Amino acid sequence: MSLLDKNTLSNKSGRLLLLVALCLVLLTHGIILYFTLPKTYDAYVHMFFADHYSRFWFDPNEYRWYTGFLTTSYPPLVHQLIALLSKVFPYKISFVIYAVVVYEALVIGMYRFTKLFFSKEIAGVAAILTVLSTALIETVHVYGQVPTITGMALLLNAIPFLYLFIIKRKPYYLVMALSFISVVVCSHHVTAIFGMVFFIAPVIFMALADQIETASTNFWKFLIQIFKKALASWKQIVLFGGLTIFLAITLILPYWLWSKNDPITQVSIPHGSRDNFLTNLSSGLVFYIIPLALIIALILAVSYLLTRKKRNIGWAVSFFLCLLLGSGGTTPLPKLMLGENAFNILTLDRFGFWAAIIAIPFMAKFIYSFLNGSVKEFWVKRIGERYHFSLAGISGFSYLIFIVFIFHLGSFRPLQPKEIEIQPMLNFLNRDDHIRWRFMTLGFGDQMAWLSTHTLAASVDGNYHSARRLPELTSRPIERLENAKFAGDPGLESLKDFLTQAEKYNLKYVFSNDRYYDPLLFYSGWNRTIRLENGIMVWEKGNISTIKPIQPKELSENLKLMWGILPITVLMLCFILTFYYLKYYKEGDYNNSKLQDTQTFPNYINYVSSLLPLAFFTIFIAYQVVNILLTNEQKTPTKTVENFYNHLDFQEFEKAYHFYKKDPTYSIHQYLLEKSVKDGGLLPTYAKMNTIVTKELSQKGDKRTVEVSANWNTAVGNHNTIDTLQLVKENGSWYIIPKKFEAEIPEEQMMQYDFTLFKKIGKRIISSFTTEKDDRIKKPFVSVRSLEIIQQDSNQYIVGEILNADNIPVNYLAYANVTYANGKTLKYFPRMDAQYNFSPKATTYFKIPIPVTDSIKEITVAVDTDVSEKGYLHGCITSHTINSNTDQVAKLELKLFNDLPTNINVPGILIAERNKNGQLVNVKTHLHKTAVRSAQHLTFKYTYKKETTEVITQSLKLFVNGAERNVDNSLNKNKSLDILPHSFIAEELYFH
Amino acid sequence: MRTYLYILFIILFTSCHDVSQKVSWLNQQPRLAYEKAVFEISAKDLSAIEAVYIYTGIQATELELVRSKKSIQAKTPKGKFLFSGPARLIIKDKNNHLSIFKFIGNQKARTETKDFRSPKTLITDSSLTQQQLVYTITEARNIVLKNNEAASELWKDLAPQAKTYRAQENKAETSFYVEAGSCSNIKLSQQKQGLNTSFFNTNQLKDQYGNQITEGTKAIFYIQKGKELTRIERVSEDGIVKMKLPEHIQKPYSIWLEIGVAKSNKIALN
Repeated sequence: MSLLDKNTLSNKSGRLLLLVALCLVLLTHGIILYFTLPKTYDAYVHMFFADHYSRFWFDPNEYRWYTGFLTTSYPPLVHQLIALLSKVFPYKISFVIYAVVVYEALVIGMYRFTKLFFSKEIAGVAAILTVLSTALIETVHVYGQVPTITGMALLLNAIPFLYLFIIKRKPYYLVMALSFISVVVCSHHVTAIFGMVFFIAPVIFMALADQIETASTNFWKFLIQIFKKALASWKQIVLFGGLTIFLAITLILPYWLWSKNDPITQVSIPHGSRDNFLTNLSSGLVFYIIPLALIIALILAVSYLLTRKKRNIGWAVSFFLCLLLGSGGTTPLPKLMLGENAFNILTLDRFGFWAAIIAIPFMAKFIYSFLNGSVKEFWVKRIGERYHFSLAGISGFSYLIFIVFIFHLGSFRPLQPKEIEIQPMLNFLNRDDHIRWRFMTLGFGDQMAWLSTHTLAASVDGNYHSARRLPELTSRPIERLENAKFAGDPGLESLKDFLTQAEKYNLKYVFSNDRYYDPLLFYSGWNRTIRLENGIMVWEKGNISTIKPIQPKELSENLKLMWGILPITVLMLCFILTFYYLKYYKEGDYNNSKLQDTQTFPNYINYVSSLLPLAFFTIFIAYQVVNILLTNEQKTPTKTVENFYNHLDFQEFEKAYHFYKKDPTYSIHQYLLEKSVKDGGLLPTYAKMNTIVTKELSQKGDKRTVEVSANWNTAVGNHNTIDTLQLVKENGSWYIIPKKFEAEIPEEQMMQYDFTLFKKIGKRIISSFTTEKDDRIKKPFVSVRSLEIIQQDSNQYIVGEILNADNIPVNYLAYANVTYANGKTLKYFPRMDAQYNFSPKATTYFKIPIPVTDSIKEITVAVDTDVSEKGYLHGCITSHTINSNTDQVAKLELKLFNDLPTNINVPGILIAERNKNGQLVNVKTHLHKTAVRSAQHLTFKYTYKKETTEVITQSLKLFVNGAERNVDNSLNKNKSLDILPHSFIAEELYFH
Repeated sequence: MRTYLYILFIILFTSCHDVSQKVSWLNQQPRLAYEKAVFEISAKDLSAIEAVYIYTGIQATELELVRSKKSIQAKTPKGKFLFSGPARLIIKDKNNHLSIFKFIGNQKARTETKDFRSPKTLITDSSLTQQQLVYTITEARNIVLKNNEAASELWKDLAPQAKTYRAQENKAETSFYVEAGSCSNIKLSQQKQGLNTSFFNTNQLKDQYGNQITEGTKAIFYIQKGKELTRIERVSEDGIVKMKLPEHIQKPYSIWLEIGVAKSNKIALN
């Protein structure tokens, strides 16, 4: 066959393969994406931004998150396009349509990009590889990062134009390159800032190298030749560079102004891509192994192809640099190279993504060679055509199984909570003016953005971390409030700040989908209102004022118009120019003489790169299967105990049961029954295991005693437990001997408990007007019986005793207005050391921490009250004996008897301490870790540590519902320790 | 190619034209009374006019149309009350174009006297003084001046009898409430049932004026047994607080009851 015929055949095959790739995108990603996008991290965030543009195209002030932020903090084009599509289709469909279209553009871009190196046939293979690339699959179906795909798609399309401009110097190539780069700039800032460097520099280098007639074999001389060529092309390079910078600045000028005027100064948010992948294997799997699996398997072939030709030096540098940077904290080099600031702000998985993109043409070359080139010939000579075919088939199949594994990553370790029906929450927000306050979600995952997309109600939380400026969020390494438990203590502290200082942000409602947070919500003064039809509990805080009008951030009208008009205009221009170019200016192939089609591989690469993918994927899948299905979890006593606790932590009780020694008298029913009776409480129900340490205490033949120390994270603090388990070995596995369970048998068979239910009727006159005067219920009256400022170590607090002097239950909010010497006045609220609801004629206590950041000029205490319908039952019959009471400690023995007809899930007490003068000096909440069931007792000892406290003599002004009041006499002056029940009851007693 | 672009441009340009017509309100006045008002409207194409509305600050009312060859007469529907003050006459045509005219309207209507009391709930521990505001409004909720005053204000001293009162007899929404205050005298007594079961209850608890205390008032029983102090919370029912002593609390002990600031007698049982 002549060269011309070969070329023609190659062109036809290449185009056919491209067509196949484009169809594959529709048939695979087009169908699957609709089902995977609800589980992605970012898809809903992008839909939220699209919703913003759909509602407020020209106004960049988005008030629904973080008390407001500017949408100029993210290049708008992708969101604007989804917004336009959403005028016709629902958001999810619009997102899928957009993602599929942009994926098609990416496939075309990869095809054109590969033609810079290889023939069209190989470019066709690269196009198909783009459809099947694990890096792209993960980016789309796990992360949902369509702007990243958009930026890359358009950048790859721009690169051939840039190459041709440097080579041929025709202006229309420059125009085409710039038009595509303009769209990149308007789509994704990270690709614009960082990604272009890794792609633009190598293509310029390659174009310069291709202009050298005879490249020197000496590397330094070759560099000098490049430098000379660069000088010869300086006009083109400067023109392109200057115009690119000009466009990059002008097109998204509001973004740069936002970055400059409101820079990101928050504490770095931990991200798995910065971990050491050797010590943190799960991060390594998600951020390195999965996206770069095929590259790792074909690394030898890719490296060989990259380094064979001098024109590829730039690409080799980019590729290896991206591989290195994508390895996160595995080595200290990425941090040294990027600098601490950039290292801690960026998520480094994008570098691995770019490495994967660069590698695709070279992987395609090897794969093509394996299927139809020199590598095939190599194998056919050695093992015959039939076995070569089998090798190809099995390798492909194992890769396919690997891809299926990625799609099902979520089923092994759920990345998101189950899908939540949002309509009941929308109905709640839309009625009764609930929209006048802010809300928050807990346990929604990234679905919180989906909820925000459908409502105009505002949340204090959000899902775009770069734009947030609330100090309670920026001062701690927490991603979102809504998954605070995964951020450990800093996350929970941040959440506590918002829950206790709810008035500061007009935060009144919390939609909770995770009972882990129930104790924290309850003890921070939140009450359950209703459980919605979708199972979400709505928590509400009383005495919260409505959102005040906020002055939006100023932005000039011209900048707003630019932001709304330029990106779409630039895209339309790009389309028109492309059409024009294809019709009038398209020439033949780029630079046929420079293609590496005839490249053959040395034998070691033929062996390793042909077999390594099969070995890699097969071993990987086998490892997962063995890990999940075939590992003996009971191989050693300590492993048995650790795995047993793991199953308990994940509430996998049936699996945990199988760790017990088989005994006909101890069936699974007995186990579950005993569990239901003795379990429950802070640790069993509301905790996540943090760490576990096991130690063999003794061994005797086939018997072992193991001590297990565990640290548990709860929303209200960390707890340690120490337990001792007996194990016995049978048939090669270790089993736990169940402990004898002695149940308390209550005296009574029936429990009864009387209490009064209160119901605020609310609006009696049915009118869409605001509440009629006749329907306004008066604020209940409370009397403050004690109020002191105390100093404990370097901290100051306000402690108070308060009596409900009214005939209805009261929800109150006590706070201190503190004016410092510098003139600043700040508000402080109680945290967990308070009871926020109490019955008619009941007394309770509160404690407000006052940070002493400067000397205090004046303190005013205010108490606002409201009618309460819930939360005023605090628990059981409480008995206490003070066994010893010194100045340092009081040793208490507590007996709680649950006389309620329901379990008390977190038994607790509120302790009020008085000094010898009868002054209130401390208020403290203590929670017990196990529940107490109905009609049963709970006895425990508690050592109450007394802080060294000084009562500060300073006059305090007191206001109750805005009217100045005096502090009355305390009722409990003679009690050195007053102990009140302060328990959390999970079952709703107050039905409405 | 250029030719096609020019044609496309012309099509887009010519498709964007305004088809609105001039509409006029013939008998336009700056102020008018709704009872007598007839809005006479003319336009080039009267059949294109679909609806006429009056928009006040709080309502939108569609007018009844009577069409003739030369004009359209729009009248307020019978029995419909309109809010007095600034209003808009809005004429809508088939293409959803709106012609808007401003005016000020007023309407005489039946009046209603309102007697508003504040606070609506008083307990007998407090001063029992209440503010009374009396004012008159029309059916359209406009305030009618009486003796040049929008409202009259009085301060009333209420009787300390706990019950529900009405400011206006036939209107449930005008209810105000005097409720019992703190109880003043608590007598605690014991009843036994069987060998070991003890019940404790109080007398009928009343405030200083003889009103039975409110249902659901919290009462706390304290039981001292040696060094151990037990606290049992109960609520009042029909003015009486009852408690069945838990079986695990056995003699000897002493028991008393506290409700707010009041304390009962102490019973010592050996």
